Amino acid sequence: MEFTFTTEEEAFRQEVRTFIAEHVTPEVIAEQGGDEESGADHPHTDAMIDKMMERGWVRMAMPKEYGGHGGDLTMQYIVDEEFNRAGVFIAHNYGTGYTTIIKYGTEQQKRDFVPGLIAGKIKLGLGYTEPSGGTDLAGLKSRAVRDGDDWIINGSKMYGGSPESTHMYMLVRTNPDVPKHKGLSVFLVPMDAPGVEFRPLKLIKDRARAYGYTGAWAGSSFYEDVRLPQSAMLGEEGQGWELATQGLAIDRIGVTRYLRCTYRTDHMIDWLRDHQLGDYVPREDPFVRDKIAELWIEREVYRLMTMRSLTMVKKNIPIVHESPSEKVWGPDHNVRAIEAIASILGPYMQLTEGEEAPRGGEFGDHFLMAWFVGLGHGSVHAMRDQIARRGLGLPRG
Amino acid sequence: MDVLFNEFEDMLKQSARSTLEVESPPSLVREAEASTLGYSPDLWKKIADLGWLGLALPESAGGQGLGLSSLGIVACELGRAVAPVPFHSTMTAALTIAESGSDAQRSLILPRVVSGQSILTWALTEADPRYLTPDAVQMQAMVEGGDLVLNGTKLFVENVESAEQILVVCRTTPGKTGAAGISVVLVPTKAVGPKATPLTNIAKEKLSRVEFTNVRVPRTNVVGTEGAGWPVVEGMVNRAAALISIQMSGAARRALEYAVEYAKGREAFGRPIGAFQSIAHTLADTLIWIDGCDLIAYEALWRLERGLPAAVQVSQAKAFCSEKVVQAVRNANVVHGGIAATAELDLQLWFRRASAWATRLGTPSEHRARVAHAVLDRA
Repeated sequence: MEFTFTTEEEAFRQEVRTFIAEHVTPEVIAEQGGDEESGADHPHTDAMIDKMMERGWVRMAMPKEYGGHGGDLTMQYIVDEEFNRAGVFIAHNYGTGYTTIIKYGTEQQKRDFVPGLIAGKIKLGLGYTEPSGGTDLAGLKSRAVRDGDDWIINGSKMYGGSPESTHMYMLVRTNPDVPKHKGLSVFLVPMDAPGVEFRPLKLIKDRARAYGYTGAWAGSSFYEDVRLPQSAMLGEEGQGWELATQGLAIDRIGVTRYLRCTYRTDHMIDWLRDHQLGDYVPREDPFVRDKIAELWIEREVYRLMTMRSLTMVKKNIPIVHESPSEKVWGPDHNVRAIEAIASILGPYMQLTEGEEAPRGGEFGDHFLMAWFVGLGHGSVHAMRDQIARRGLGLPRG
Repeated sequence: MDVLFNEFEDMLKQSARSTLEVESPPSLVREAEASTLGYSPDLWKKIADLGWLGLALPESAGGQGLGLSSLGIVACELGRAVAPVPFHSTMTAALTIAESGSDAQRSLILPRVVSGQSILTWALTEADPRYLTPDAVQMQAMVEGGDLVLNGTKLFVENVESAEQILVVCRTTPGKTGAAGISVVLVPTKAVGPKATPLTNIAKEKLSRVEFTNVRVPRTNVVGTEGAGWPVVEGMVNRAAALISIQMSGAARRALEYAVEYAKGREAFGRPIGAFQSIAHTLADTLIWIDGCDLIAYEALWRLERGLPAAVQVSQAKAFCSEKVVQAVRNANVVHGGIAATAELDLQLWFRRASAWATRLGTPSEHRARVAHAVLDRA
């Protein structure tokens, strides 16, 4: 056991903090609550991210030859944690694509995609769920059929991607004649390919909160006789289930999900330390103190679970029930947190903007979507099935 | 950062587990509960011979000088077996003597602890049960020349009938309130004969009300500084709370395993009940909680061992483990159904004992109040 960071890691944390003190300006913070619909740009944030990239701090753990830093997962964790603490969520650091492309991609695919992903110039939508469902993922209906050297894709995907997505990381059936898990493959589909149509779906929240979950938009996408070369396939034909499950397992663990599920608790604590509502000082209320401590302890447990999976990945220990466990505990904490915050703030919780709104309305926006984080990348219910089967050896229902 | 066990820690855990699987079956717990002593002297001797009692005690006392995380691994396994031994009360007092005692106290007492000859206990709580509240300590120890004369009543004292020494928290400065004037005093049980009355409890463990009437000990029995003993109490209770947290977690994990085995074998509507999601998801949540208990308790133990600030981590661990362990053993009962309400099923030993341990060393809300102070109040 070793529950603290090394001296080198702590020194690096100081370096990151110094950078943040200099570069996370009020202008950068102001850009964090942008509205994707109006296409608000983020010039100050972009300039800051360029400086981070010069230092190799974006996707640190990615290999150097593809634009990463060849660094360590712990260093990546420290960067993400410090920026999150400062109120900036580095979205470039998140998502399935990088890791699976590095692991399964051809040399050409690695060069075509990874530097662009790191720079934020390529944005992948996750093309798993379909209009007919997502939990029974292997039962998906979109199909790719060979035509000479090419593939012809037909089907539709739901919720994955946003109007900004450049490609869909798309799981389709390439062989209908084998057991359903074995007939799947992954394609990296350009959203501007002929036959692809993206229809935005407005979400119930109005603002992106750039370091929040998704933007204000999700989407459905439709594929009609979309012709793709073999080089658009990631991994081998029939390897799609492995790519999807590996990718999902990667997305279920780690710092990003932890931070996304806990920063609201942290922000509420920050707010409580310095604020009151009229003559009422919530932090002095015994109910509030008990609730906040409960949330704090839950987020500490989540931090330790995140440290556990980081440790396992670094030590090459196979992850069994640990990633679905995080994917239950984190999202469930997130929901308990926002509902507790609602019980503390009372009518102030519902505000999404304006001077009366605590933290500019962050909590109101968050309330609308907090429950949703339990669904993406596998619902908490599906996760409990996995824990029961893999972690406890219980029979399938 | 590495929150998993290293090779030595893994080995220690495996060796403790395999030893206790053989040496501490549920039948031994039942026998101990029915016995006058309340523990198994044979098992106590065996674990002393294996060196477990000296794991975290200094080498000068015959111990191994390892830290609290190693001791925690053993406490977790003893909890897993709900082993009928006075381990927790002995370690709580012994670690405090090792930390704050005089050379004479250490050399008199600790070697006897390491060898298993001496069981120890401690007495803090009185009628007012509030956790780490100095004013709740009202017991007086009047200075008379070179002696202290103790008068008062302590509650919830463990294993007092078999203990050789009691570490008693009392007031040695009349008129002082709060933390001022508190002392921690070693009281040999046999020599002075405080009067113990059993407190019948759900765990069927040996728990007593102890009345001290003009109990006289030399002032050299004070552990730490006379009249300035509150930091000694805090250290003692922090270590004890962290240890009971991991001990409970170990018990809860075994209870979960019982429930999983049962859910695989018991059938309803033609299939194992574990195939029903209501059961499977209940057990999945229980696994998440227990993993969380382990992580948060080991963090507290590790920080205590390294001498890092740990009071908040101890309170986090105790608040979380107290609630989640009780829920976990209850879930294990519920999965078993009616049979879990009968004394026949061994699981009841885990339910009763872990639930009793959860009540000790501060309630969840008391610990959360300490956490809230740390996160909400500006210094």
